[in-house]
Amino acid sequence: MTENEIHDEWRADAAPGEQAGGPHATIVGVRNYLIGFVLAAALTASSFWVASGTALVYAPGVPMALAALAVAQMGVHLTFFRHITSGPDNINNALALAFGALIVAILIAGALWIMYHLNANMMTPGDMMDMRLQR
Amino acid sequence: MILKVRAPGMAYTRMPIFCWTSLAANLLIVAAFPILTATLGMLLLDRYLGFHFFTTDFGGNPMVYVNLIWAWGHPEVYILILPAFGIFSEVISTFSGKPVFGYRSMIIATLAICILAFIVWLHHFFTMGAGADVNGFFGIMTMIIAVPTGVKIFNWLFTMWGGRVRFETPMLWSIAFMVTFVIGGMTGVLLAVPPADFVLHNSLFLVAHFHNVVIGGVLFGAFAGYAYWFPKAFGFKLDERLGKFAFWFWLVGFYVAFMPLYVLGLEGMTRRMQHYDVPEWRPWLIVATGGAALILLGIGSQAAQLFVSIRNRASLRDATGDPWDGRTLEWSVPSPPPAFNFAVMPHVTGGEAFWAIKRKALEQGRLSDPPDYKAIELPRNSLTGVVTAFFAVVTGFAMIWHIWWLAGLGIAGAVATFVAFAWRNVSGFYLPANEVAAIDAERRVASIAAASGRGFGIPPLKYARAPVHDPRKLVTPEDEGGYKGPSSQRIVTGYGFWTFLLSDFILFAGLYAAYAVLSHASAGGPTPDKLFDLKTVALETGFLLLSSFACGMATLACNARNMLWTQAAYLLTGLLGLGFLAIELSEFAWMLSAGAGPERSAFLSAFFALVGCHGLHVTIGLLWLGTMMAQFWAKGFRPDILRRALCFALFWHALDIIWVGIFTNVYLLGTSP
Repeated sequence: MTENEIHDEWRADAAPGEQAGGPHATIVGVRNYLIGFVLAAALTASSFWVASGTALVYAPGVPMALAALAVAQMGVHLTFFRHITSGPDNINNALALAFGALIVAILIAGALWIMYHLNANMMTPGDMMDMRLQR
Repeated sequence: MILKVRAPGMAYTRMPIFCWTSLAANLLIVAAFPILTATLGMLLLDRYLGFHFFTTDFGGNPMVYVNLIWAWGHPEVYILILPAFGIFSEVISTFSGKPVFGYRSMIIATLAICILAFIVWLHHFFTMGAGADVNGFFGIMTMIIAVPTGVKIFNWLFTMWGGRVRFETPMLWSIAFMVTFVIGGMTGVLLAVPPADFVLHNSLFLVAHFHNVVIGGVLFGAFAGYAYWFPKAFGFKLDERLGKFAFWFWLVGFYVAFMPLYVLGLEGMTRRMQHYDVPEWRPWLIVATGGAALILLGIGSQAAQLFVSIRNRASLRDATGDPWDGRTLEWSVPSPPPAFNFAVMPHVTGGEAFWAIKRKALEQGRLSDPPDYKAIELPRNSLTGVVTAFFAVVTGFAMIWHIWWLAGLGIAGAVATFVAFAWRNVSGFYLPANEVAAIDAERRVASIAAASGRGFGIPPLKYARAPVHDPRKLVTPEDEGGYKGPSSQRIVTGYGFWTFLLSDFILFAGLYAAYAVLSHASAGGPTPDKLFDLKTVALETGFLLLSSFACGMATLACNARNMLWTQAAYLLTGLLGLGFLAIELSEFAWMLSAGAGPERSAFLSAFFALVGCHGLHVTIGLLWLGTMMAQFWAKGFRPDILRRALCFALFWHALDIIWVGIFTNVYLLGTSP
């Protein structure tokens, strides 16, 4: 393998957050950040609007709507600000991200599930204190 | 490094198993330790600032602590065992003279353990009342994690099967591991059955189980690796006779010491007893003490082994760099390895790269032609790590004894050391080609001598060969008309920082897990819907989004090498960030003055910790930004500073993503009807 081929192997990868170069890199870049900013601002505004108690959204569905909007906005930030793509040069970056997201999900869902059952079956220390005080 | 800096041709499926298990262990470290950081941070706030996470009053809940500490603690035991699994794979393959059996199934088993390690943590507190559903799930997951481990045991057995097994100390430790670990694993599966755990938990049966897997697995693995790689690291082998003494004392001592504990556990003896008054336990405890004495003899033999080996290092010299007839590339370089490790980049064409090179050399009856040596870039040594660690220890000591001025001094010292390191101008030097060639020639002479059977006749290598030239007088990468290193350095830096950010997300997930559990524990104090003002939060969010956009403009200006725009856009980024921080601090100040401080309730503790941690990140980002702007101003668009700019952008945009999570979950969900 020649020196050039070694370098080709390196080029097959991109650093996370790296933007594609090219003659119009700056113009394309500004346009990308603008699109991202507008989308993010719109999604944020929607979130605040949904949470402000509008009659247009079925009230018990508000948490679900907020979750969907938050996930969408995180996606926008990842795509337009942090330049994560699904391309072959981004496999490692996306895999690391997926692993992180999996652990975050396991940790939060697991903690809520476990603590819900613990609190339902056992008395939380606060309740125990209250009982002692009432006696 | 394993993902980004491999030799050409070293595909994932050609790496030694040790690299795979190290990779999996490091994934676990990156993902699990932030949970510990978050938990210890909360404990610190409880103890020093009167927060109420784990207290028994004001809505705090000690079980939140137990839950989080084991969400870290269980992956941690796999962080211990996975590298040991890798060591055994290398040792068993080398000393059986065969490639590892079931290479791909080994990789799959390793990664399966890596994921499953995160969904078994509740088995550490089955008896705390989570109920049948939760216990059932975690019990079954715990039993399932034994399956990939079983796959590995069978693979090691089949690696030995049909091979020519050499019983030297590393191999003895490995065989002892396989037997001992199977016993420990089976008692582990027994403990994974929740009803059985209700009987056995907190007894000496449990103590026997985890010593069984940690000593029989991790410690034996460390000893195997110590004997196996010692000659590579120091240039001479360890004394084999004393090594065997140590092994037998340890092995027999282990069984005599810990098997009685299983019996004692079944007889009802609990752990951590200060005294006991059950006469039937006494004989077993005396036997166990005898076992401990045997282990002590083993430790003594190891100390003696090290001493004798250093004394006899001339006769134990590893002249060829390949004392065990190894199969992987580390055995192709001299022992101890030169600073550059490989004189020329090895080109890998299959699994077990060094084995293939040796076969080829033996077939052709000669070594490959001397390669075309090139100057090799080496990093400069730096004391930064040691000095920073010193200041960290000072801080910890001062915190324990409440010496606040010393704690402040320690933190300031650590930060100052780090900033001084970041300001350095020369980071490496080139070792000239002729010196690389000279060092490599010695290795080739030794290889030829070994191949022709003159193993012991050759003159020993110079001990721990250092470069002849003074590094300070050599050409540095920076002198050579700017930076010329591989373009890959940017990828490696960016990816490393990316990984750090993921661990940072998990830190926030730990804080958020506590918040989500405690957000209703307002203990009669203010509740979220009474406290949060959405207009303020919307304004904050606007500042942060604009700041992120400005940071993007700065990144583009950096890429276009326009100093004026770079500085202007970074300045705007910083000012907007400062605005965000000012609003947040005024919100905090208002809450504190309204009697809604963190000491009021567990909900408020969790709120201040979670949102405050984000604010702390913004503060650190602003300090970083200031330093980086100064560096750009003083040194121009140097590649190492540009790499930092890439990382800063990743950091700053990550803070938005975390903020999206916070404003949705804390503020919006907290106030929505």
